[in-house]
Amino acid sequence: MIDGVFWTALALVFEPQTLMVGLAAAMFGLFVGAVPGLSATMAVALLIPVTFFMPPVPALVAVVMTTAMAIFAGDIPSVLLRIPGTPASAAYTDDAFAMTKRGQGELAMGICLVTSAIGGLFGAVVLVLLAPILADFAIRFSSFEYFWLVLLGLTCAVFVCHGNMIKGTVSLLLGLFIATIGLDPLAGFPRFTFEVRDLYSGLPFIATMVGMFAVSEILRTVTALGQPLEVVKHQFGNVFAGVWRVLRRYHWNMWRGNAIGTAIGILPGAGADIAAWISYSVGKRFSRTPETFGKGSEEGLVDAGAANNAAVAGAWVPALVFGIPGDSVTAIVIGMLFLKGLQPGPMIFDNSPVETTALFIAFFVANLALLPIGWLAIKASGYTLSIPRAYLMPIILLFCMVGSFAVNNDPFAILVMLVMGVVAFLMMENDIPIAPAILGMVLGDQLEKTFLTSLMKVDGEVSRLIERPIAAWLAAITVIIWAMMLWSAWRQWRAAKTRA
Amino acid sequence: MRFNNAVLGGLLLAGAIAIVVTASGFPNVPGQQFGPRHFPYLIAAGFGVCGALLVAQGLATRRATGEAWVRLGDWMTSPRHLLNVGVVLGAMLVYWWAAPVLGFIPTAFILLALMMRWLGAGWLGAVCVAAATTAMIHISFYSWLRVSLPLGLMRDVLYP
Repeated sequence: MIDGVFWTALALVFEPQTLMVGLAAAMFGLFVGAVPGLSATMAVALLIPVTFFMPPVPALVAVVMTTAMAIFAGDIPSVLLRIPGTPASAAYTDDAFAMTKRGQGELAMGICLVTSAIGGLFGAVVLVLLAPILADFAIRFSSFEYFWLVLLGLTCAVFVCHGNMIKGTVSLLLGLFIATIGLDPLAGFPRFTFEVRDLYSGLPFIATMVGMFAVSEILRTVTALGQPLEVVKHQFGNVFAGVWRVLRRYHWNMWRGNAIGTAIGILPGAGADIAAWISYSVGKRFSRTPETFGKGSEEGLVDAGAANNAAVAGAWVPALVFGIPGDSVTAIVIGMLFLKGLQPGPMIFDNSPVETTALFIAFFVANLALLPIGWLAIKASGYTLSIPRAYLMPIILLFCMVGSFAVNNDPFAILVMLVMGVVAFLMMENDIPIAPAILGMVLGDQLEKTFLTSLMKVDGEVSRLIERPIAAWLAAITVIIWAMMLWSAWRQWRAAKTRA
Repeated sequence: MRFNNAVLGGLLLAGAIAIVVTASGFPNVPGQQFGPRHFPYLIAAGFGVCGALLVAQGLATRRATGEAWVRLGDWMTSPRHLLNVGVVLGAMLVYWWAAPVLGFIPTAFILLALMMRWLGAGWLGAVCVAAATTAMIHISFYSWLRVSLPLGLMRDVLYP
């Protein structure tokens, strides 16, 4: 039976049409990732309207290809421009650029490429092994466990935010509020719709995502236009020369980076960027030469490079098993899974075995294909980075408008995209993180439904929400994380007061 | 444009009140303890707490450093960059209004060419890239993906 499913999925992934879609998505991901300011999340947000018209397997392959390629391609401008192409490359940009300056551009690029591919494969193995086990466990969950799990996921999204915890919480609450717009999940009463019929089914998800991730970036770019990028002219030779020597020397760093990346990816709300930062910090902490970090350290590059692509697959674990996104990419993907009739949750492996197996295969194919396709992207990097923003931004904006419109053929989506783009832009200007808001939007409905259903089951006695053992454990972890955040905020406040 | 935290907190408190007032009009569900208003109440409570904390934080910062209530970003003091933002937002509004009337092809072409030119591209490059992009998007979305992009004035030209 399993063999049959596997071969069917394999055949679907290797259909010529699916391979063509995958190749096109890979090119798209490489391009978006390599252009500074355009992120992997934005690539996926722009891709989703197109996948709307595809069968499930090519759509999944397209998303996996785009993400894996975009996260790697973010390293290219790090090496050549000292500007990370995506936030996931920011942790080691100084090291990559310092290596280029001292004539080791090929080696820096090779380390990034190979560690990305290995990290991605490691994450894929964990996804394949862990997700079905977790699903077997999660099948016993009732609304109580789901409520605490969703709350824990949302808590983690605030916990991993850089900067002001209050602003992280505000972002989360904003997302939860946006999720309440439309018919309420229990009684079907229209809330905050102000008699606008288009709002009865809530804000259009894809237009909201495109607005928050793509339009906000366009606005950010056009407010900084005129600051020319200085590309280091570098003709790449053999990028693989010397890589194996470095990986042999730092093999422990690589496996540790893979493990950290995958674990951080599984944590709801934390994606490849945070994985890379944490792995880089851990690498520096345990290094014999921490003083070289930030100045062209091969070790730092291995540590962080191994983590970011591993996080991509890790983020799919909670998304598939619990319907709780591991990062902002999977937050968008969950919307796509529903559109494709694939209901995320513990039953997904039973209800859609071919599609989930195809997804696993796609991760292996994408990360193996990363080596040759990534190598070509490195060779073509000079051309990619020289495309003027004056051409690029209007084209992306048109894609945003057409993509948002395309899902339901509804011009209202363009207005939603505009408003949400401005909201996200103002949030970024005021250091309010966007990721918690996205998680709030995706999980708000589920949080409300599980919370109120559980309360009804226990006649409104809040204390009985923890009477089941797993629910109690999840509640305890959630409370501990909130206590840690409050403790940390209090210490920061005390330190600031002492300084003043 | 950066607001002092006290201003952000004030906006959140106002938002919290607005949510409570609006949600108080939501009906009870007969026979149920909880209804459509309870979750928004919790969100409003969260906004209220965060708003109060931000107000306290913002006032403390203002006392210590003299931070302005609103600080304009560099782009807001540059007419060129301010207009860039206006052009992007205006383009979306124009597309929303004009595409159903004029059709996707003329609207997209004109908007692309004008935006590219405004952002610094040469006329010839802007017109050529705008034409090629419009054609590519029309073919891929309208012909391949079967998205009913508005034809508008082009209906008679494309399908006489």
